[in-house]
Amino acid sequence: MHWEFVFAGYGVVLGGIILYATLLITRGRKVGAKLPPERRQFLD
Amino acid sequence: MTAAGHDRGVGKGVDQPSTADAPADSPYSGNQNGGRGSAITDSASKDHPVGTESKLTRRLGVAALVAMAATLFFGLIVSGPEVYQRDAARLFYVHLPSVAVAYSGFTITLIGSVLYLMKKSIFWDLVAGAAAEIGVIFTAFVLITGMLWGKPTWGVYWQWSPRLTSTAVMFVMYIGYLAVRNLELPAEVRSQRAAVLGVINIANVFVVHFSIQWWRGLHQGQTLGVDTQLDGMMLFSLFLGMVAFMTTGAWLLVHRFRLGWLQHQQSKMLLETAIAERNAEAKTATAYGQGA
Repeated sequence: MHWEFVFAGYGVVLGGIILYATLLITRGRKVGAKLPPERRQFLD
Repeated sequence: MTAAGHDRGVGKGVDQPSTADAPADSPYSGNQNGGRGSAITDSASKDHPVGTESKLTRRLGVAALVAMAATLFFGLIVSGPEVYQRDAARLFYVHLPSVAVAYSGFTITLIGSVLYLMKKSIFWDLVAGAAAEIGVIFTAFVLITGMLWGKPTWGVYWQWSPRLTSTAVMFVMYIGYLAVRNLELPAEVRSQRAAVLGVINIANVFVVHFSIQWWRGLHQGQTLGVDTQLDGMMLFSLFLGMVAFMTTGAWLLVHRFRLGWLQHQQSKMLLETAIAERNAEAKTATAYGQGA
């Protein structure tokens, strides 16, 4: 019962996370490619 | 998430340039390999990844993926339907964890804003901005899953009850915060104004949280507390959802912070290049004047 609402909710959340993560990663690569290595150092 | 060698203070009067602003023949333009990837991309050492990824993000990403898969399995298959709301209650396993991530994001924004106002460090400004963006996205998930849960439970998608209204106001307030971060202002002024807003906005997060205790409305009362009556498997699924969403939120936050950091570095580099070019022009003009 009401599975359509459940799937819609899970779909929006998971789809949103995947879309946002993809945007962040591709934009990061695009900007990072224009910078010299010393300007893109991160410490884990 | 920490960026190595981060500077103190914000570059005055520097607006974020578009990534397209870098000259095509620049050594850092990324157009040197027939458009198939830059020389830097190809020669980048493992210590200096081109994008926002690193060992930390890969580990966090894998952990988030595993936890999310487990949440789906337990939330949609293993866990049974709720007595009154039946299967619609399964939205609970993504709704409440989304709230937790949104609250955490806005709390980090508050901490970042306060530390920015105290130290004037671009690092904290970027942390605050990244966390607010994550918070806004997860607040959108809260509103959407809440509406989808409300229709089969209450019979309506939306009602202007205190919890729903205050959550919508919180969403709009933090969109306003993100809008201030993109205003065409000197960077220092913009960061200062955003930080003040980041501190003020937290007041509404408390209103959202306590609205179900302060006012009557459609929204149910506190779910987790000393008198929690959730079935064991439902509680476990909820716990898995919390772990999955908090890990995902942390993973996204690291990526978002690093993207902001790279954009700041790009902005700084372009400014330094422009200053060096103007200095060289001034020297040439002086030498020409002396020669004449």
